Amino acid sequence: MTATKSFITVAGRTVSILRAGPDSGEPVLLVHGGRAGVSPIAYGSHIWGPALPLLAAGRPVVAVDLPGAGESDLGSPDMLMVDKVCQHLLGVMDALSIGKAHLIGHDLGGYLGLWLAISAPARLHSLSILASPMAPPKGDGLDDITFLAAPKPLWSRASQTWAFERLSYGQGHIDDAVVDACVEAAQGRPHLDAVAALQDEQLRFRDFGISALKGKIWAALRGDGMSVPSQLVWSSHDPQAARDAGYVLFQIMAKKQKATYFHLINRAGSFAFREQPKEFAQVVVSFLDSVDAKLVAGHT
Amino acid sequence: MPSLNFAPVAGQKLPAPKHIDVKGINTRYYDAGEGEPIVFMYGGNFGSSDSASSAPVWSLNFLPLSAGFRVIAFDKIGQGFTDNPVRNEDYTMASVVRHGAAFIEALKLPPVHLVGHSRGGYGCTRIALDYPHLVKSLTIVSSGTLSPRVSPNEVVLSASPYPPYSRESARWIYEGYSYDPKVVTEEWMDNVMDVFAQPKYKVSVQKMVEEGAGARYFIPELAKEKRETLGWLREGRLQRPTQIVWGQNDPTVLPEGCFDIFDMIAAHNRRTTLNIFNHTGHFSYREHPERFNALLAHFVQNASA
Repeated sequence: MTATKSFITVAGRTVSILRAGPDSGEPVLLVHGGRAGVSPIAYGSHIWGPALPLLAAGRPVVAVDLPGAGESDLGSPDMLMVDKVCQHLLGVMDALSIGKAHLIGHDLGGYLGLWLAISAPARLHSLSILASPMAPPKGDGLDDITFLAAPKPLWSRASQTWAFERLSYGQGHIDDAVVDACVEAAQGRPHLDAVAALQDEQLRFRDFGISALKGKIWAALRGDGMSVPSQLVWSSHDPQAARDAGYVLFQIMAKKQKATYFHLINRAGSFAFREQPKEFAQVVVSFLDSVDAKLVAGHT
Repeated sequence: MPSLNFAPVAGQKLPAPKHIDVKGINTRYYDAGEGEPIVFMYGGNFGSSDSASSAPVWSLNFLPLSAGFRVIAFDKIGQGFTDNPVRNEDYTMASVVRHGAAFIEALKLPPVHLVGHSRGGYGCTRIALDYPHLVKSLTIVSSGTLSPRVSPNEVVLSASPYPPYSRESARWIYEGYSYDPKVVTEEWMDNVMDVFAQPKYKVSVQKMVEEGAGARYFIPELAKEKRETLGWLREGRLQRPTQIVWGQNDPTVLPEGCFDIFDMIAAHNRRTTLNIFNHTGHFSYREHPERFNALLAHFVQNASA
């Protein structure tokens, strides 16, 4: 299976997408993670690696580069904010004539999916949140020291490899293909623009608008809850997305949405879809199959 | 992955049961389909006059999955329509495990995908530990018997307000186990009543309760073996792909227990996954059969590849 790179224009900005799989079937929208310009890994659609063909075995898959990542224009610094990114993702779906998709979001992508499931439920068949440290409640958590001593220069080959090692259980998936792609993404105009935009202290403190939107997320989940069937896929050894935090989020979502599932994948860190791709696909595809067959309770 | 319809079809009936002699124990089982063999072991134990599990409890999984796999659901020794243990001292889990393994051997099956629920989850885990050559993968469903934590099932199940061996009593028990009482169907209760109706079943209750085999053998020996089993899991003796399936709303086995089981197994066994279903009590495979079947099919396929 080969993935095809292409470019579309959404609201005047170039968006890079990677496509794989058949033409027919309910589409999957893959949304990568990372805080563009801050994370020591330059994320993008290149992150999905072995998960792409496994997910594309039965349905069309579109992996998008978020604004300021990979080869997608940042446009304005505003486009780093989660609410704006969510609007943008709906625009991407419109441009691709995707009315409704299975959204699978990793890390920040999972957070974006959570807000889309609340704010635009008619656009999602289902939501899969993968190892997202920013989606669960924070409480008075400890500071995140995963990247306390990132080697300089940031986004160099050595520094990104180090960051992958910090976030992973196994090191086998950290191959030239993904590191090369991340180094290339880091040197691209979108990422450089994101880094430059975040020199602004005011913007940096807004932390992508993650906290600002959180209150609306909890209000919605306290209220009517979510109508979209959802699963949380967490890992045994993720230094950032703690499994108890994931399980707490599951319990919050599960109060109002019958079709909510929590899964743990063993011997994986943040990248279960790369570290244990077959077990990842076993869990995720069985869920997508069930939703597509309208077998999952709570399906709307 | 064969394209399967994971949803049970209303009105579809199980095939006629078969019988096989397993070391002198006449054993009833259902057998259908072709492909990777999946063997189901239900929960409960002999000697209950309030409820009774038997092989047809798997009907919602057996039939849809039979389109892509060889599916086998058997009655454990002393339960359903399988003979009772011969000696009082054989009213034990060890005897159930020995019989289950001997049943797989008697059918001359290649290594099987074991699916065990509740006490059957413990039994299947023990078969995977004692007879790994018979086992290709293991699915543990809501097993308080395997959980190192306290399971409050007695709180839910004690002092049924209905007479023993009654349909009302069985319904009360299974509704107590379930998230949505509506999943307790008449078909399910018919199967319980069929089991109650056999003279041999009343003999097993007589042995376990009146003659004290439960207090003398079953309970204390299970407690000892459970200590050994948990030790074996912590040592890493379980060496087959394993998935754990749990109901978030099971009043009888707390979800915390499934994390403990995951940790014990996952520490040594790469292919270990945990799956928690919402709006699900003790019988996930009957409460959400289509979701359970999809998960099991993908797991078995991955474990066979």
